Amino acid sequence: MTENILNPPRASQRTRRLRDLAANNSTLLVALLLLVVFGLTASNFLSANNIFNIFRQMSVVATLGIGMTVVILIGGIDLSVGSVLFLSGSLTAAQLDAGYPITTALVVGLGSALLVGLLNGVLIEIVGISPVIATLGTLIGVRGLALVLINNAQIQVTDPFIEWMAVTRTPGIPSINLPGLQFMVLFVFILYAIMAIFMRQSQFGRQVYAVGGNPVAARLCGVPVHTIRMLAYLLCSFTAGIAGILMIASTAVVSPNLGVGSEFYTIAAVVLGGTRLSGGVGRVEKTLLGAFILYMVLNYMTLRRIPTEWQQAATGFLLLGAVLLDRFAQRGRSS
Amino acid sequence: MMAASSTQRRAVLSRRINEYGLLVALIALIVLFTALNPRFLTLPNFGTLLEQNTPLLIIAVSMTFAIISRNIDLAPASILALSGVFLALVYTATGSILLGIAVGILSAVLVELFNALIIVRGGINPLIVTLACWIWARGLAVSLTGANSISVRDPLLDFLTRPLIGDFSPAIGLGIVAFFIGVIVLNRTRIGRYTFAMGSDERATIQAGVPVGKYKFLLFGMFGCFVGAAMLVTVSRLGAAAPDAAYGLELDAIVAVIIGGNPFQGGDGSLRRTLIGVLFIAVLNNGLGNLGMMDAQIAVYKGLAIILALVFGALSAKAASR
Repeated sequence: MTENILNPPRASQRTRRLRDLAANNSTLLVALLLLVVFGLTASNFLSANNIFNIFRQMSVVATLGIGMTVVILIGGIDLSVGSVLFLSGSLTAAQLDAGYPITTALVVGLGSALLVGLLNGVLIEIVGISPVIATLGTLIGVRGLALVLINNAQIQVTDPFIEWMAVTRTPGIPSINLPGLQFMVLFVFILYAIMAIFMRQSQFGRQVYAVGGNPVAARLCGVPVHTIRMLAYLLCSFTAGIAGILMIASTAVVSPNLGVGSEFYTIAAVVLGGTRLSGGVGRVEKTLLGAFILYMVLNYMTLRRIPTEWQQAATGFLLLGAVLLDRFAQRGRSS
Repeated sequence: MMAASSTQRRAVLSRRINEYGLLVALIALIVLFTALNPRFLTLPNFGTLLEQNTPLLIIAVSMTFAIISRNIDLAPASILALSGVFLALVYTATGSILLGIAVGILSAVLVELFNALIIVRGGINPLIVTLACWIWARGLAVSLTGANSISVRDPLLDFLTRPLIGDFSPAIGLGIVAFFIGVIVLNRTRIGRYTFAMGSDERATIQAGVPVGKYKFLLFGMFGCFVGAAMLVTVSRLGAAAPDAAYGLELDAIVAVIIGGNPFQGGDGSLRRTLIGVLFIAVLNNGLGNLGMMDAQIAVYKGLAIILALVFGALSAKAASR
């Protein structure tokens, strides 16, 4: 018996290592599997043009996912991102419409998002309201506030910089049919690269995992738990503010229900990326993969002419399937 | 000695404020709206107000169980829309309203039991399971109808929202019955006792020999019945099953439960608090709407009132525990 534990048979060791590898990279495996299956069953799916199309479609939710992942890592949740996105997008558009320069408009838009983040942080960390409930309050109030501030109007966005973000492409390579990438897509990738490095290298990144893994132990080790959590909510609202600007760049018009429900799709992308809702476990860059899986499935269904209404139903089941798969991978490892 | 008794008195006072603060705020709100608009405090308006908010009351009752037992349910509004669509499809196909109602309510129960299956057998966080259901059930409702409403006009269902006694319709009676069923189940039955036990310490409850999984199935099955009842009122009010029916109702229900003073971390709570929370939301919506405000303005005031109520509740709870 004891001998068995000290010297396990080689074969089982190898399968165990394989299983660990699969469990640790299950998101990547699922993404690759879907790429192959979709590529074989839909003729245009694997064209560079279509893949880049998916990148563009997922850019808003992927941006929201950056801050959301950090908030979920500290063991919280932020339901207000869809409304913050709308606040920042509509205020930016309204400033541009009133003739202010683009820098002023961006400062107002992103500043308003940061103010909501501060409010969320104060309500949760200082007043002591549970994150689901506090951000539910700002979800309801902030969209209303934004609608009142812009007087319920539809605003066309015609600013050259905003258009530039959605239109400008990197040079493609026509000889191998490789198109260019829109600036906003490139921007999302750069944001993720910065955050992936930042979360690994900075003190803040390490403290986020400490707070999410075990808040009591973190506090005893001298980590400023409340400050880290408040910074996470600020960061989440800030990335939601950026997402709002990407959103008005891609739609070119502000309408009252812009971004409604996007908090749910963002949480779905984070969970698909393998981040645990209980906090402390997960990676920011995997959320990009989660968003890619989500939009890959939606794109595939569009290619197969599945009506958009059915796509929403399928998205819900996709989320369930992903969570169950992850759960069984975990069980396989622990047994 | 003197100091001790005065801090004690202060703790009792702040506990009282925590318990009755929202009731006082509710009365103040009613007085305010009556002063601003004399039509507010009239029987016809109150009949409308109560009937409008019957689905909210019913969902809030089941949400109270969900929050006390730490099994948050984000899906009821989507399931409401989906089960309404099933009712309408069966009614249109067979012409029998009773069969339609039966299939509608049964579908709500089955969907909730499906959620319970994944939560219990898969061991997955209810927040994710019901979030997925929030997405797919609404998507299915939209797909089955092609995003159009299906008209359901039947005397039996219309009866539910036609004034019966004065300005009050039977739907209000259904809401009251649902509320008292909730009160009895929560306070007088084993399901209620284990709801509290699960919420305060699930592991200890399992170790005490309670088949927690079975009671979760019972709880979610009960949520399905409540969703079915709320669906009947919604379909009857609209005269149709709409795939976008009750959008956002789950959020209003959670807010009603919490501002009533039930702790979100579970293990404690009462339906009396939920009732006050529901009435607060109902009066706020109706009063602001009667002042001719647009939805966006209502949302600002509503968000503000919710945050104020939460801050007040959290601070007085802190003071009480000191």
